[in-house]
Amino acid sequence: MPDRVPSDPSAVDAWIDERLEAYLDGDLPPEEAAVLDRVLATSPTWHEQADLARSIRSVLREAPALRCPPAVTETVLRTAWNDVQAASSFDQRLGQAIDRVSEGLRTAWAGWTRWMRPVAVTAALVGAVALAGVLGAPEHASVPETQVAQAREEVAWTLAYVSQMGRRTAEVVRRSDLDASLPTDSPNEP
Amino acid sequence: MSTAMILQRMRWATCTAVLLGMALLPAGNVQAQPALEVDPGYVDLREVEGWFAQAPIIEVNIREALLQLVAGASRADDPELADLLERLRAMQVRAYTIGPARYQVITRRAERFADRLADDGWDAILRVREPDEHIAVFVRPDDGGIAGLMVMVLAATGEDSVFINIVGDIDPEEIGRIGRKFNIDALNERVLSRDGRR
Repeated sequence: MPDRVPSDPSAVDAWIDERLEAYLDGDLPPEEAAVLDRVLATSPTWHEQADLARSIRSVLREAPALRCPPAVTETVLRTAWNDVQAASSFDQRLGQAIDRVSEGLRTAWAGWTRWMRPVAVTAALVGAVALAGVLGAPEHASVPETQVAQAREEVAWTLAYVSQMGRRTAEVVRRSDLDASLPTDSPNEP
Repeated sequence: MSTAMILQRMRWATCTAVLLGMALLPAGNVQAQPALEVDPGYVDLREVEGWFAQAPIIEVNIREALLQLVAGASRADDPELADLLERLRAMQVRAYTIGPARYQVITRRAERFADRLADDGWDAILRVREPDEHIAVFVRPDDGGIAGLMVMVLAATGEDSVFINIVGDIDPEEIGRIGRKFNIDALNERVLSRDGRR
């Protein structure tokens, strides 16, 4: 059963993003593929995202399947830097550095199996959530002033009530202590 | 090489590097407080709500983020209140009108509730038992300080029965001192009339 497009606008982008790869692979149910057809036809942003995904997919498919060396990032960057040092013009150096970094990362990425990509994406999402936690939640900005003012009155009431109860119970304790200390007229009392 | 090609390749390299970096972001950097519901000073008042057929005439639920906003809003004109609120995590209030017919039943339930609080490490620092009124004040010691305050006031006639839980780093004397500044009679009118409760 195909999933329906969420009614919440903020969830629509996530819905499309989750299905973009499957759409390019031709794995979406017809109803969902039709939705993405319309989105890509009308949204320049999503059209560009689809083009980028297609170019990445074609590069990954053409690259040979290699084992990913343990220190690949460090090796790639060091090699790229060495090439940059040897190049003559700035344009040539910049292009070569970008090409080597990109090629090295694509080679490493191509060595992963298909199922590792969702794991990496999930890890990235977890990292993004953690980063959001570090930076703080934006929810404070959305609380209206009236709600804060109302909460302030309720806080004041609560503190005033607790204080009042404290004084009343202290008064009751003092009265009972005073009553206990007063002599009685009854001959039966000790 | 054209600028567009450079930008496209940079976008791919940057995107992948950012994803790798974010995936390796240590989760330990995120300092998260334990959930409020497992805070030792927190009391779940749903059991108290279950004693009454009617909705409370006063219901207050102010938690973490909103408390901090109130603290910020109070900083300019009442810095002492702001300092207190910045150390708190939650304030909960439920107030009901009991009446003489239900007073005995509610009092027995409150006594059993107080016994369970004692089993959970709460200390009863004040108890008053009079024919028409029952007052109990509990504190929850934790790690050398006080993590929670629980106040139960049961009244058979004339006044409302109130249950209050304050969670956080608490100094009861400070609460008493700061609370004394507020005019509860004036606040009563506004808090009770809110949402057509009275």
